[in-house]
This record gives sequence, structure tokens and C-alpha cells, in this order.
Amino acid sequence: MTCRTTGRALSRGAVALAFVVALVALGGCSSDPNSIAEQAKKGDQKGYIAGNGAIEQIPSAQRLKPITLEGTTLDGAHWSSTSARGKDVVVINLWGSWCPPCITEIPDLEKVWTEVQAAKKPVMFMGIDFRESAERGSAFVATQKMTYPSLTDESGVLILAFGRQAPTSPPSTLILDREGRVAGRVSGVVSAATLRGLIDDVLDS
Amino acid sequence: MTDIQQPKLSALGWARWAWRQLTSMRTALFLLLLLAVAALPGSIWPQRSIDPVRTANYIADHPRIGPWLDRLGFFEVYASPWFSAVYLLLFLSLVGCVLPRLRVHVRALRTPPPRVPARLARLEHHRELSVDLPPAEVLAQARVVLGRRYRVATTDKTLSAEGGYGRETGNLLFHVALLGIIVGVAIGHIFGWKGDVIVPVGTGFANTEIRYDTIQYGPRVNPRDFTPFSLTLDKLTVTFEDQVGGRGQFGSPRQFVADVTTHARPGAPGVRQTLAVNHPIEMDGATVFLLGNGYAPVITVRDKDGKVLYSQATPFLARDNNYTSSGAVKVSGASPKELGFFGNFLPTGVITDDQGPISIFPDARDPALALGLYEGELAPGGDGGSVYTLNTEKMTQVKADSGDILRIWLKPGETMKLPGDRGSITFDRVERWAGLSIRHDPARWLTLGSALLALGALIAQLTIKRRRVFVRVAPGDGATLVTLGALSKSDDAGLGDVLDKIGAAITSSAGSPRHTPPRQTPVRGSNR
Repeated sequence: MTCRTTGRALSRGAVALAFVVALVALGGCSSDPNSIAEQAKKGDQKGYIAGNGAIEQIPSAQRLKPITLEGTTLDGAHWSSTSARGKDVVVINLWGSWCPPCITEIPDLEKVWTEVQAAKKPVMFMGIDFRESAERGSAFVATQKMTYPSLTDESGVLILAFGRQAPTSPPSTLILDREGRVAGRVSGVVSAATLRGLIDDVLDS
Repeated sequence: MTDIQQPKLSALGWARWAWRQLTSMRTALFLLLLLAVAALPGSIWPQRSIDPVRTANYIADHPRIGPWLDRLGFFEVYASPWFSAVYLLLFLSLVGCVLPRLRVHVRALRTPPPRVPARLARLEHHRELSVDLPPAEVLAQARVVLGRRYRVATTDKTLSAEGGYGRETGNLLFHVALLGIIVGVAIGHIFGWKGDVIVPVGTGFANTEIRYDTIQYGPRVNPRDFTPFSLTLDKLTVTFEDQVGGRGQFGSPRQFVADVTTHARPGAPGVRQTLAVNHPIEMDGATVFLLGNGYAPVITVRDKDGKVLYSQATPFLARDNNYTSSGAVKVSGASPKELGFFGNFLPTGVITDDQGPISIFPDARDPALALGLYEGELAPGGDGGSVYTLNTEKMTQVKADSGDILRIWLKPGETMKLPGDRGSITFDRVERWAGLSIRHDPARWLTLGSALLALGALIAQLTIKRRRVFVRVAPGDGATLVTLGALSKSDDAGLGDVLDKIGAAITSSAGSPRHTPPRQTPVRGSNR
């Protein structure tokens, strides 16, 4: 009898030990609370995934193939990024009037846009109004006094033009060099100083 | 009481002991039971991977127990350490069980059938007969009857055969299939992803991370690798049962069909396809499912000069079976103060005394919008909250000229002037939205194949019988004395028939049967 009881106690102990070991081992796999998966799991229905503010600069030699962004502006005109090829650096800003952090960065973008125009730098700005109707976007542009144009992209199809360099969260800012290659990316809110620096680096490269 | 001396176990001894415990049938069954029990909380508490909103609400509603349940993994049962522990142990237990049995089975397949027992008459099933046939001929006949499903070994005077190896093969395959399912599910978790989007009719969707409303992917998934397909929702047909006593319950959904145009990549030609419940569309690298639907009233808000501030099909989320749907219209383009409408869309709207405006039928028979209006700051401090509700922290409710709270009640085509030069709101028409779920599970065929294999193997295991059949011939006085015997490892109702068939074949080929009844039932006092 003693033998059997001991055996059972031992097997129970072994199971408990295995359990603790597994718990500790798996507990180590914690993940970044700001990752997209974690944000989705929060369940706050904010309807978008916030950027983490990461800034990426791509040296000339490492840039991928030129991209062609093509669409209709909020005013109804056709625009293609090929029109700037060989002439201008293009700053592309992804925004939506429903996205609060996008609204916060607009004054900074507007400021830099005014500066580059005043300095006659070969730079153009193009927004992408993401996931809302053109009417809603235009009304917002008018009240915010945004002076640079924006493409309308209610369904998100324009984003596919960026391929593997697609922005992953609004707001996002991408800079295309004169050849149309992605030369810099900001995921999240961009400040005027950061944007200025990124533009100048691309102009010099 | 005597002292029982326990043998001392070395580390290796302990490891061997633990392995034997783990791989025992008892442990495997216990783990299987534990797995079922461990999965139970997943159906009791809301799961973050399935419905993050409900989970967040549950935790908010249960401030005391919610955080603890969260810490213990009850809202992510299938990713919790304790669930994984059971899962992995079961996996190990299965592997540890299958491997040694596989070795034994392979050995059994290679060794010839055992020699014929000395006294066949002792077997439960046996026959004796004497025939005018040379012994070699008798054995040849038996061999023909046994056919190819038995492995046969013969000597001059005996034949032993063994068949039904498929039983053990089926059993092993069943276990291997279980392993296949476990591996398949694991691969799906690690390399798979799943995203959800709400797409109003007339708009579209592009397969890029940013476009998803919610997305979850395994640790080895890079969203940059998503294939660049896109889809436009051209039409969504939804019908509800409107006959009392019809085929379905009154008001229950009868049909959801979405007509879509898909593009494999930007610039590729559009392909018209039909998407329905249980009829997904296969795109390169992902499968698109139609999961939900709802209403997206097209609402236009104008300022006092008639300039459009907002015009869009605005998705409202259904709250009950009659699609009483709630949502918000956030007019961030309004000035000087931003405007926020909130309230309900009612596909078949009535105003009741006790519940206020509600919908009484899920189809859009008499649609109406019942809204209230707030003004102020939509996103104080950059936090707008949900797109379906208003964050009214920095907003005040707008009152009608009469001084009461402003209540907006609109039917399609109607426009209402807002008080105090705030412009107007128009309910243009009703659109529907489709809730799409886009999934990629690289191992789903492995999982399906394994599940089918498990079923087939189980059937094989239950129907195939492991049998041994023996024949011995002895030259008698002018005739050949034949003894047949059979043995089965389990209950086997058909065992006697095998012997009868062999006996019949032998006697019929001998021509003139001289049948001797079996000796196991000697009839005393018979006049033979």
C-alpha cells in the first residue's frame, strides 16, 4: 500500500513540476504591447492602428524599384507620381479626417510645405485621404486649410502601389526620391523638424 | 507493517520512469480529457482573439475578477501557457506511444505467420474433414480461398496464415492522423493570419495591413509578404424570412450573397465573382469569407451655405436580431465646432412608448435614422475612441429651438435643418455593408487531410479483424484427414465462416465429399 501511495504522490509531483516548467518557459514569450496584434486585441474599436513613430531612412544604394502612385485627387483631377519623376522629391502623407493623430500633424506638414515652396526647392507634397469619401475629405481639407493636394482612397487600393514598403498605420509619411524610389518613411506623427531633415537628406543624396 | 524497500533510481532511471508514465495509454487519455476541460473556459468567457470588444467590455464590467482572469489567460485560452502545456504533453505522449508500436508492427509484418499449434481441436473454431485429395492439393485449395489478404507459410503438411494487419495499421494511422491535426493547427497558428474588414457596398478593400479593421497574425508572419489583391463590393443581396410559418423562423436570415470584382494585383483585369456564406473566394495567398452584414446609411451633412461637409455610407453595427444598429457620424470638417451625430439606424423602424425607437424586422422595409447631436471636440487629446460611438468628454449636446434635446428622425430622402445655423443633415439612401474575414492558413489541407485520415483509419480499425488460420493434413486410410483451425485477436463473428469456406472449397474440388462432422461435439449413443 505504501508503495502505491508514494508512486501516486510522485506522479502528481512530476505533473506539477512539468506544469511549472512549461508555464515559466511559455511566460517568456511576451510580446510588444504596441504591436498591431496587441492593439487589435485591446478591443477599443478605435478603428485604426496607431503608428509607433518609427523613422526609416533608406540610403540611395538600398532603395527598391521606383513606385508609381496613381489616382484621383479630391478635386477630381488625375495624378500620377511619374509626373514628378526626374524633377521633384515627393512627400506622400497618408491621412484621414477620422484619425486623430493625423489631424495633429497637419500644421507641421503645412508649415514645411510652405517653406519648401518659398525656398523654391524641387519638392512636392501629395496626401492620400484614406478610408473616407472624397466629399468628407474635401470638407476637412477646407476647414484645416491644407494647401497641398490629396488623392482620394476610400478602399485602400492605392496603398498597394507601395508593395513591400506599404505604410502600416495612419498617419504615415513616405518620401520618394527624384527617381520615384521610397527614400524615407515615418510611421506615426511626423514633426516639422524631422520632415525637414528627411527632405533635405533626400535632396542631397 | 513491513518496510518496503524502494529501489534507488538514477537520473536516467527517473527520466525513463517519467517517459513511461507520459507515454502510457492512461496518461494520454487523461491528457485528452484535460484538453477538453481546458478548452471549456474558451466557450464560457469571451475570447480576445475572437471578439476583442466583448472581452474589453467584460473586463470593464467585472473590475474585480476581470483582471485576474486576464492574468490567468482565461481570455486567450488557446494561447495560455496551461493550455499549451496540455497540448504539448499530449503531443509528446502520442509520439511516445506511436513510435514503439510502429516498431512492433513493422516487426510483425516481417515475421512469417506462426507455426501451426499442435492441437487445433483446442481452438474455439475448428473443423475436421477427410477428402480424396492429395495433401498438397488440399493446401493449395486453402491457399486459393485465403487469397491475397493473408500472409501464408506452408510446410508439406501444414499451412498457417495471418491476416488483418490493417487493424493495427489503422490504429497507428489514427494516431499519426491525430499528430497531423495537432501539427496542422500549430502551423496554422504560427504561419497563419486572419483579418476582418467592414466594406460598404460600392467601396472596396485592398489586402494590405493598414486596410484591416482588426488583424492577427502568427509570430512567423510578415505582413509585407501579403499578396496585393483587391476587391470591390458591387452588390450585396440579403433576404430574410418574411412569412410566418415559412421555411425559416420569421425574420431569420435566408440568404447572403455578395457580388464582387477581384483584382489579383494592381492593374490586373477584374474578375467578377460571387461570395456567399460557406462559399469563400480563393485569392492568391488568402481566402475571403463573407461573415457578417449590416447597414450603412448614406448620410450627408451640409453647412449653413449648403456646402457638403460629410457625405458617406456610414457603417452602423447591428445590436439585435432585428438589426437595430448603432453608429456615429463624425463631422470633423464642421466649423467653428466639430459636430458629432450618434444614434440608431432602424431597418424597419417604429417608435414605441417603452423602448423608444426600435426596429421590428431585419430587412430594410421602412428604414429610419434616429440621431442625437453633439458639438465640440471629437478627439480631445488625440483620442477619438471608437468610430461607432462619440467620445463626448469635450462635447455638449445640442438642443432644439424649443429648448428640448434635439432629436433627429429621418426617412430616406429627407433632410432636416439643424438649429442655430449649424446647417443640415440628409439621409440619402440605405446601403449595406459586408463583413469580410480574410484568412491564410497554410496548414488547412494538412488539418483536413489528417481529420479524414483519422476517420478512415478509425473505420479500418473497427472493421478489420486480425485472424490466424491453420490447416493440417494427415494421410489417412485412402483419404486425407484435414484439420482446420482459426484464431482471432478480438470478437470475430465471421471467423467460423472462413473455415466453412475453406472446407467447402476442399470438398468440392475433391468431387465426392466424405464429410466428417467436427469432433468437438461427440454425440453419445448415436447409431453411426
